[in-house]
Amino acid sequence: MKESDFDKSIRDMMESYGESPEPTSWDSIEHSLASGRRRIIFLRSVSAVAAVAAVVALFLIIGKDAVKEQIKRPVDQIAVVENRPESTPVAIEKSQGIADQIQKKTAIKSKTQNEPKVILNNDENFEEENAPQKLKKTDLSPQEEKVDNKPKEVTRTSPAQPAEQWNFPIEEQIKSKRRKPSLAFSTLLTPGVGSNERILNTYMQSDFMQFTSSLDRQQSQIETVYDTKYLPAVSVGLQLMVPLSRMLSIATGLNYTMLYSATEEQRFNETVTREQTLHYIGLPLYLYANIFSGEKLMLYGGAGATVEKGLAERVERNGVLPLDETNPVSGLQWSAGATVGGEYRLGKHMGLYADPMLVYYFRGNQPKSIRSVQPLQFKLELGLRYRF
Amino acid sequence: MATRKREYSTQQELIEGCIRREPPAQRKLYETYAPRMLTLATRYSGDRERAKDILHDGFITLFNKIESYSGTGSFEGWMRRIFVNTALMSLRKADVLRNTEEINNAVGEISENPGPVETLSSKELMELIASMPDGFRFVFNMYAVEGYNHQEIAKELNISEGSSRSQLSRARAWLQERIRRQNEGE
Repeated sequence: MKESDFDKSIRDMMESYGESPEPTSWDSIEHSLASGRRRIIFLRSVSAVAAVAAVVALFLIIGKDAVKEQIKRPVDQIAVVENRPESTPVAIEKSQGIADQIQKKTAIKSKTQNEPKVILNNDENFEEENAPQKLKKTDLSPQEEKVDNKPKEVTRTSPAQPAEQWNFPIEEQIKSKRRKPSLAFSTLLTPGVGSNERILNTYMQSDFMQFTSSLDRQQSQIETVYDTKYLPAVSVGLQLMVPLSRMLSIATGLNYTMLYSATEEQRFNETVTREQTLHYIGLPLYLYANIFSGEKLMLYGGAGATVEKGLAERVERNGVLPLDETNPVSGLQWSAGATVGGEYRLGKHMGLYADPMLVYYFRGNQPKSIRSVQPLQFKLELGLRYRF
Repeated sequence: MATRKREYSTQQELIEGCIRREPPAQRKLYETYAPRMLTLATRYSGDRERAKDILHDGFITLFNKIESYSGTGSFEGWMRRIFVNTALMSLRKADVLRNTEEINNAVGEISENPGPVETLSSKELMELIASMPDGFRFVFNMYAVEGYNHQEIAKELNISEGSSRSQLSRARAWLQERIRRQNEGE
């Protein structure tokens, strides 16, 4: 008996033979799978709680900053009008806040023994550190010196008084810091996720029977090795960021992504190379929260999702049966991501930004790509942001 | 609330159900393939108890990795590959593979005509294979039944290709001799 005949006889008998496992075997497998699921649920729960905690912490920080900013806002509707002729301009027209007035009052008080009356219209909105330089004795006009024995009072400024008359530096500063819509050109890099995948499929002889000739079967090997190399995705896009408040912004846009992979199929007696190129157009929607905003540097965190539509899949194959075809891609590719990024201001309108991000690609009915092989990916979005 | 029972009438539906981690699909896949995978595990381990562990670990690996099945080629072939790897891993842990390189000299006389294999039942044949010396068993199973080539066997078992060929030859002789004896009623 030939060796190959002997092996084939053994193979045929063994392939068709099966012994029933014990009934408890499945229970054991089911228990292990359930434990794995519980572990996954636990990890996801911990992740969710951590994410919520991070968001809460972020908003607490933001909230604190917002209160501080509100405190820093000058009491812009206040002016001191002393008992003097109405034609006399008030000496504190450059007042930036109630603290300034208090200091003036204190200074005046030190000069006079009279207690001035102070009426505030917004007594919680002041902070001493924002007060401008202390009023010196020499700052007082002769008119003030003259009238300092007279009773003084502080009254509300007339609403009709034009705002330009009051030059408030801090208000100007806040205006300059107010966030504006921006348009960004971005490129999304995927460092270090070029990936290889090797799959060895063992075909049974019965599988070959269906589609190969007897000659092919004689020559054929039983396995096919698939060696796939995935290149990092290439992505470019435009992003429009619109501030919702001083701390929050929402961003959307349009991006284009190209995914490329090459598979070397070692099968039968030949090696076939199959190249796949996928083209996607995507619509991201991200919410950003400002973490830190300096003169030059800005840090922020964000999270959101992207939906992408496959435009086309091009497949090229060499070998005995060469192929070059372009197929439509049905369905949508969803992904979710989170980032903590920063922007460096290059000028009044331009900024260079870098957003390292973690993106998870949900498995859908999309063609196989690096996103299905490696659903969680680290990405780096780099771009130029222009503020209007 | 009544839930609709899925039928999984095709293998594709069954695989997709397993990808979605649906317990009924996993159960059905197990029921479909467990007997053949248990036989495979027994052929490699030569030990029913260890085979049960391989069956367990193999299915856990399978359900966790089923997303990586490319959809091309035989699903059972892909599955067998997982179970062979699981078996080899298990035997490696148990230090069984360490002696694979040693040539077993206890091979009897090589039979010129062992008689037809078909005279044995599948169960008898499987028991014969399972009772082969370790080195013979791994190489013979991988080459003759699963279809690995010597290069792959050498890599998996960490032996030379020459050893793989030599052990295969001896394994065949060993098995043919046992079959002859069985046929002669010894």
